[in-house]
Amino acid sequence: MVKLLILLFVVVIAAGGAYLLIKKNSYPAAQLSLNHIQTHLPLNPVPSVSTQAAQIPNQPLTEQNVDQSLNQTVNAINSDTTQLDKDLQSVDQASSQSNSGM
Amino acid sequence: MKKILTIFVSLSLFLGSSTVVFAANYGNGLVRDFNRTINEASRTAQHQQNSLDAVIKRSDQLITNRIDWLNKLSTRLSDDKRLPSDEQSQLESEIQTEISNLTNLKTKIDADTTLSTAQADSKEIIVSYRVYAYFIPRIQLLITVNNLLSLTSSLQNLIPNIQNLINSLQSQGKNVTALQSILSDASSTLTTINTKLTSDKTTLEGLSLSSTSYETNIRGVRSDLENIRGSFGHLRADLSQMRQDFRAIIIGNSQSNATSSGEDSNQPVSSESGNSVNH
Repeated sequence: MVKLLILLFVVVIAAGGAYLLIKKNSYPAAQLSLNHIQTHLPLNPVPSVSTQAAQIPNQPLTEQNVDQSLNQTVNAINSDTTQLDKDLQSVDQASSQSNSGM
Repeated sequence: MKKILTIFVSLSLFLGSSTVVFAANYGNGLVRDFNRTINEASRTAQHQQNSLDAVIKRSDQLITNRIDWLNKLSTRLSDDKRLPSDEQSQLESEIQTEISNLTNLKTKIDADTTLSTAQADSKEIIVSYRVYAYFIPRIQLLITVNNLLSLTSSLQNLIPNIQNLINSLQSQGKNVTALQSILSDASSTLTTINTKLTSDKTTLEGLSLSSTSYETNIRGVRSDLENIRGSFGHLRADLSQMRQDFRAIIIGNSQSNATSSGEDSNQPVSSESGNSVNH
């Protein structure tokens, strides 16, 4: 019975040691991998839409250009409403910051 | 006699030693009391210094956080290509003044030597600036409202051009009833958007920190913009529908022309016709 307890103790200690060793060695690799991803895959590679002026054509419409002009107009509205969403989000974040006391 | 002398000497020795012990104990007590008073004063001073350091540290952090936000807002402003330059300069000037004032307040707080002064100055960061509750939302919303007014203006300029093309197609005998109806709806939506945005701009420009209702006004403009976003969605749907209707009519034109000339000219109306319409 005593031998069994000693064996169990040894097994537990060995398992704990192995776990700590693996954790210690795996963390730098995971961090390195994360750094690599952050370096090579920037989170916001697309320039902000706010830098783009709305591309709404200001020219007489003809049967030839109406399709393209309306398409550009729809895209301009999309772009500006996306920016609107970001701006409203910033306002909300500022308000929540105000409530946080920091 | 000998006995009396012995008793006297013993008594004298006893009283003498007691006095010395008493004096020594009393002196020690005085020294202890004095040391205790000095220690307490020292601990109080140290406590005050620690509290002062903590207030200064926290104040510095509060100011740094606010300046970081203001710098982000400045970047958003300088990236904007649609704001008129005079409005851009005006807003940028307001942001830089706010940053400068906060920096000066930080310098003052860092030099504060008493806890009460530091606490009073720290309170100023919140009550005199309201960076998060007032300044940032007001500037951010002004930029947004100006951008949307610019978009609305461009869209309003487009309406007569669309109307002219509808008139041209109508003069060719095409059925433009649906197109005309959608254009009227789009035009009406634009007018509503423009009215709201103009009113919101006036509200924001008239706000001041001393105004008691600035929070209500900011919430009101934010709510308006949420509704305006929905109106732009409606407008986008109108334009997409018009695009399809124009395409149908114009392709019909092309086919009838081709039939009459004996040629197959069933071509897309523009090089962009392959683009999908985003709803």
